[in-house]
Amino acid sequence: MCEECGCDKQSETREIILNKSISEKNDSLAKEIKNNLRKKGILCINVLGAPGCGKTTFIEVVSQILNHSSIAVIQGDLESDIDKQRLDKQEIYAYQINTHSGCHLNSYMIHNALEDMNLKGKKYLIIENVGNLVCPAGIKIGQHINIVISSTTEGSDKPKKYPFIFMDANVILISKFDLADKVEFNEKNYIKDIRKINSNAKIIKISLKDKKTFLKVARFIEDERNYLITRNHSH
Amino acid sequence: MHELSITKRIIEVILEEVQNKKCESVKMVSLELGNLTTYSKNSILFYFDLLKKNFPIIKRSQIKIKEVKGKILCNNCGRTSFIKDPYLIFCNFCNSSDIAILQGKEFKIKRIRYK
Repeated sequence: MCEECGCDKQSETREIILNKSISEKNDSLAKEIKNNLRKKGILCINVLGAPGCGKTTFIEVVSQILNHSSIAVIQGDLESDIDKQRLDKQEIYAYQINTHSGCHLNSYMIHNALEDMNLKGKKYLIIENVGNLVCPAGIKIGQHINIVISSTTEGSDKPKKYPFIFMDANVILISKFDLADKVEFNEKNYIKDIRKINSNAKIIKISLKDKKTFLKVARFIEDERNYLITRNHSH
Repeated sequence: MHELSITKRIIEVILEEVQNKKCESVKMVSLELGNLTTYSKNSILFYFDLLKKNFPIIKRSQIKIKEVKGKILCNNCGRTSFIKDPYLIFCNFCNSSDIAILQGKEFKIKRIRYK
């Protein structure tokens, strides 16, 4: 029976032309987060990388350089608040998101976290995404910049195996660089492979053995925030 | 795992779109998936078949996924070309990697056919 008027005619096949992005809702919320943070003068940094590459360590060291009171952190992990506890000990303001089965953060999670957080006086919001080289790639969460960390111990073939995460990076940090020789990390091939997919990203080598190696990335972050503030004035 | 959540989102969008359309059943959903996304076509087809059984209005529907090749604009020579491999993103004409991605990152629902 026809569902329009109840007559005996067979209902016809109809079509909705949509042309709608599946991530539209996520992306528009991400844009809103990004703009709100920009207006507050807060640079939002999405930190990506495999489990154990040194994401939390990077946040700890950079917070020491940039002054920890200017930083807020959102930690993304499937379970536990181990990383938040590490940051708490250093008096770095941190909020934990547990995604349970979720393999990456999304803008709804960040939006909800920000509702609970107090960002007064903060200049930087660092979001440590779920440790994963596949799923967080290309997912918008309100970030102004992406920092990808990839350690020498993971091997120099990672840009070739997981290109998408490296493609959108503004900065690529090669961590645990003091171990490069021991694990036979091929820096030349690694950089060559990155340049095939990302010609603009800054590539910086870091090592916890020499904290001065983190200065360059800290300066980059400061410059990006200054640029963000300049854009605010021109808006 | 990654495709499970995006397939749930696809189903949400389908249900949202047909809810006020006096729809008896969805027949076909056409999607467009860029090859520079991290989603696997086969996994989406698998999860859709698994999940659709929970929703009477879509339980007999099918999805069709058209894959879209990555396309780039070279900032060096100004020409456009298609990406042959997602891990080799440079201009097919001058080999420059100073490029802008024009297509390949999209994931869209194009059409929904229903009765």
